[in-house]
Amino acid sequence: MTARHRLVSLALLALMLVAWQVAHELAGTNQRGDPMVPGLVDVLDAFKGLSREWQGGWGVERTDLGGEETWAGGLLAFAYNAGATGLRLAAGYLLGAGVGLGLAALVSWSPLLRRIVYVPAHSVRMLPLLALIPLFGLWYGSSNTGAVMFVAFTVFVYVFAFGINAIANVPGHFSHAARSLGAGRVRTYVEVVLPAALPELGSGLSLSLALGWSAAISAEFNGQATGLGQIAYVAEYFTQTGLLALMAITVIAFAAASFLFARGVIAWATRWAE
Amino acid sequence: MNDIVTDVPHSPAPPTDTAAGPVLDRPADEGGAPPAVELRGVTKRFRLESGRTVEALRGLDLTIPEGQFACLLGPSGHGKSTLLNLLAGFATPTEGQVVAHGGEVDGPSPDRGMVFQRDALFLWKRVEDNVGFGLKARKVPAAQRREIVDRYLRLTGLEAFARAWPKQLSGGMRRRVAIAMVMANEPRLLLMDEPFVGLDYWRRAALHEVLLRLHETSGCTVVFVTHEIDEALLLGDRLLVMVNGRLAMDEPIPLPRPRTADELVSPVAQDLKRQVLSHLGDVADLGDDAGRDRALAAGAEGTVEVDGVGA
Repeated sequence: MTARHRLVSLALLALMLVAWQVAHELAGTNQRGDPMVPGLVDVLDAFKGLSREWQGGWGVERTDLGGEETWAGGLLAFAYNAGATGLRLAAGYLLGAGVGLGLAALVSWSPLLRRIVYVPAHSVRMLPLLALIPLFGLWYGSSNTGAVMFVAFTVFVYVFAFGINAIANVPGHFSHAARSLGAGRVRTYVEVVLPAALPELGSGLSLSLALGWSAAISAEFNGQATGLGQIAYVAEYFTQTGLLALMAITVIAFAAASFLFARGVIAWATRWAE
Repeated sequence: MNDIVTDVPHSPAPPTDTAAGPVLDRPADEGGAPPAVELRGVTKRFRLESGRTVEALRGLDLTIPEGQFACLLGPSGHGKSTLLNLLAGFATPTEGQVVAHGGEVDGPSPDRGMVFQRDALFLWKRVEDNVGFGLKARKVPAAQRREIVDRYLRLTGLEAFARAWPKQLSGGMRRRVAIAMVMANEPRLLLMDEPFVGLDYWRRAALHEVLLRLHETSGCTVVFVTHEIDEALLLGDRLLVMVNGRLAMDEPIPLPRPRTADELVSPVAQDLKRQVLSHLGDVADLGDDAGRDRALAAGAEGTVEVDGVGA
């Protein structure tokens, strides 16, 4: 990106902020007096207001026990809840991606089995996953396990489908070459077919990470006592538009950061690819 | 045309269809060496999704003695790659028998190495690991493996690129890796399917030199598929022309080695070229349905699965 492009990007960002602020001024307030479109100051206030979510400790008192709303309290509450969401996401993602990749590799060992599961696997991708949240709530209650399992299921569905697709798309001449060099079936599969599928699989892993974020926030929105999704739920319940905007910005920023990180890891793992 | 092509299962009866064109009854002089390859009445059919069957090879009889460098010419879709795939063990004949070094070919083997037209380097392995792949697969001890890999990297002029990824190499260097990868396995039969296609004259010339050196030092048998008559005359001991799934021409190349441009314009070479061109001139128009079917069958072979592994 050239300096000029960077300048244009920054100008565009500034323009969006101005447009946002203008929308805030024009949209007015609701019956409770909250702004229909939160302004930039409302978002900053919402961050400080997060103090109400802090359970006490680290020198900051709970607000429901008489403590003041402070920036420190807001920061601690933000870090605690972001950490809870991050851990649920990480656990769910690793579980879902691990099982998805493992199962895709096992199923794809047999071309016949792969052809049999191809349609069902892609059909499951069409499932309205958010509609399944109550089901997970029924199975696991409002425990961490329920949130983690929901994230894992969401990630699994995509990684599995991407996995069998990526393996199916490996050109046959790689296997032929390996077999004619004396490699057995297992070596051919593990050392040739699976690595050859990696580049295509990488995009599936990145996409499923973005979906994992959505799943984690949704699971928390629908029945967790902590996490960014739970804060969004509270904000929505009490029509705290500033807090809702703050959560939206936070999730976008975290999702973008994790996507860039994952892309970096995948780019390193496939640094040999053309 | 989106017909899917499948193998027609093997049948023991090998009737020869004489209506398809003349059949050579005399192979070129084989010099008394034991046969490396024997094809006995080999027919290969593919069934299209439409139900029609095409014959890629028709009752082919061919013997190639050990150590010979046989060059196979012919139009696309006339059975050259099918023949190589049968020899490599990637496909089985519908009728007849394919024998290599005295045993019937029933699958791929490191004894029969193949250099593909398409780049089949393992992109996720460094050059030295590509070259050593077959040795590792055959459980050659690490020290010996290292020695062999180094030797073939040196022979192909790639020693400075041992730790490079294939994507960092030029087209010609990649072909050299592909050759080293197969040759390091020391196959008794080297199958090459248009291995230098798309390379410029200088890269080809350098690779010809590498290939001839390796052939000379290893003494392996080579079946080399090409579309270039001059390339065949430069490399081969024997010239085979395949048309409509049959051998239309089978002649020795009695040119002295090392061969240069002078040999390629000698009266003997000119006569061979004339013969080749006359056979190729007889080829039916490839724009008709039969031509398309044959080309389709030849192309589809690249996706045939081997023992359930891979795509």
